[in-house]
Amino acid sequence: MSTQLEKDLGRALDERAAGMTGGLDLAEVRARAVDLRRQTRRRWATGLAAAAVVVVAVPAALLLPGHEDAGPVTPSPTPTVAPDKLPDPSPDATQQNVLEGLPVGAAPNWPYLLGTTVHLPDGSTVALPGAAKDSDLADVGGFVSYRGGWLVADSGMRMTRYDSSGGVVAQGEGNSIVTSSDGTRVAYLLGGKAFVGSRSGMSEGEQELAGDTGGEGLVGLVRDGAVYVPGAGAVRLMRYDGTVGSIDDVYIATATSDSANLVGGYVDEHTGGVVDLDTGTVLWREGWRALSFSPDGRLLAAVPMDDNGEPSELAMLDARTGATVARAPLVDNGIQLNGAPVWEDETHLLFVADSGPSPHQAILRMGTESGLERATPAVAGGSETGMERYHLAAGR
Amino acid sequence: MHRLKASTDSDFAEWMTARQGRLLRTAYLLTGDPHTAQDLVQNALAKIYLRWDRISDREHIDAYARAALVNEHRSLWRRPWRRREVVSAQLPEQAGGEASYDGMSAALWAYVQTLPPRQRAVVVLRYYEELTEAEAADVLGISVGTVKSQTSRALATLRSGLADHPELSGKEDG
Repeated sequence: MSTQLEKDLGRALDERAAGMTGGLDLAEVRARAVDLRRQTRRRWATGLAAAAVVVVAVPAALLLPGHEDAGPVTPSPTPTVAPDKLPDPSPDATQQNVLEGLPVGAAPNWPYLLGTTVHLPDGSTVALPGAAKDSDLADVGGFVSYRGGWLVADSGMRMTRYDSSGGVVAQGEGNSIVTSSDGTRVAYLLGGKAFVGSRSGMSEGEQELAGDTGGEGLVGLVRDGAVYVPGAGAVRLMRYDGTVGSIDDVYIATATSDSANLVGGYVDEHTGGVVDLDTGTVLWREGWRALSFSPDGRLLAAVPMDDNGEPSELAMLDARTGATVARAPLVDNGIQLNGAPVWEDETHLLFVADSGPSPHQAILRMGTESGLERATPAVAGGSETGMERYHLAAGR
Repeated sequence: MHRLKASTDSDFAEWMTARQGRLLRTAYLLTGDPHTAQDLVQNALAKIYLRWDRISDREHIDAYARAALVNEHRSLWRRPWRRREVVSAQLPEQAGGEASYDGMSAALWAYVQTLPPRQRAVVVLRYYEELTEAEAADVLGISVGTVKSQTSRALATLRSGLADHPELSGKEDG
């Protein structure tokens, strides 16, 4: 039997939706269908070519310190390796999933979740507590080992902290887990409060940070505390000293580095960039959207801001200049970036990727001087099926 | 061949004309943005169009379309480059912000927009599409138990939000 709230809710949804009327005609739908078919064929066609994908590397000099010119940077001059025109796929080629065609590299040196099992860098596995079956983890928001147990965020905005035996230590509303650049500290939201603590739990207790994120997740850590964005144009810092401040030079923060004290994101409504919190200066501004800084803060993983929908490529930028260090075409190779990448070390990124023609998912690796490679088996599933298979542990 | 294609188009167009309004309204409730909703429906319809000849069970085409729509929407969930833009650029409107809706409806819609994606999808499927828990679970590819827990959390959030509006409290059974 419905409660009054449920009846009111149904009525509210009916009323709100009533004003929407369909305006699509067959020609528009057919045009979109043609686009989708073209994209699919291009992905299939590149299934064979994908194995030959290399990441374009820029001379290592760009990685060295001393290149701190804050002048404008053009984001897309580096040629990509994907040919403009690809041969028609042979019938056999259409059967190979793009991910399966990639070179196979070493297993991730980073914890990841496949189904309900956490795979650790030493090759061992452990069951993630709180999940009896795959579907319970179809939309994991994040997870990380913490103080001998686990922190797990699910898509229902619920954060659970487990002890080493899988017992629930604490549970409440919360949607984000971030770590320090060196991986030793973890900050998370639980029950509307933000906490930060050492990951090992050996050296200190947890600290509750002052401030109210208003339900928004944490972006990351900087030297003085944790960054969150309660709304466009309002970037806040919950400092370890108990005060709350603003980061005025950033419009929306999307990535942070506590090792280099940098914030990446939008420097205005339409422009990406990086701000140095030590000097308060905008280091560069261009059309890249910051995703995550390398552990030492020298590189930044980013995608083009103008891509509407799927990022066309994943790039490694010099964090202090915005210069392109390496880039990997994605859409043209039939690869979809799924979630934010994490840095496996100072020069390698790991990310979950989706691909067709039959939906598959795998974890891929991108290096500053090496091509894309597959770090895990490609398994059936992925965003198109509604069943996420892989999740990388929360990280920098 | 052309005759067959024309027949297919005609069948599809007839079905689309009858159903796209409902799909668009569901998409709007899922996304909260008319442009995104239109894009979502166009993608879902295009995928159905491509598979129209292979969909043998026409009696269940509506359910198929609904699942296609929800899957299209779900594919956006894990994309931080889109998610944060939505979070940042479209803060939920305030309760009572539109004169054409009474206070309760406006307040509930405002709080529905704050729900995380899966809870919101469950709410839309259960209370707008009026699906059973089992049907919603099937569409979302999750267990019935998860539908129940997500529904429970969503209703708790809405109930808690309404508690901040004492002028509406007399209309709700708590």
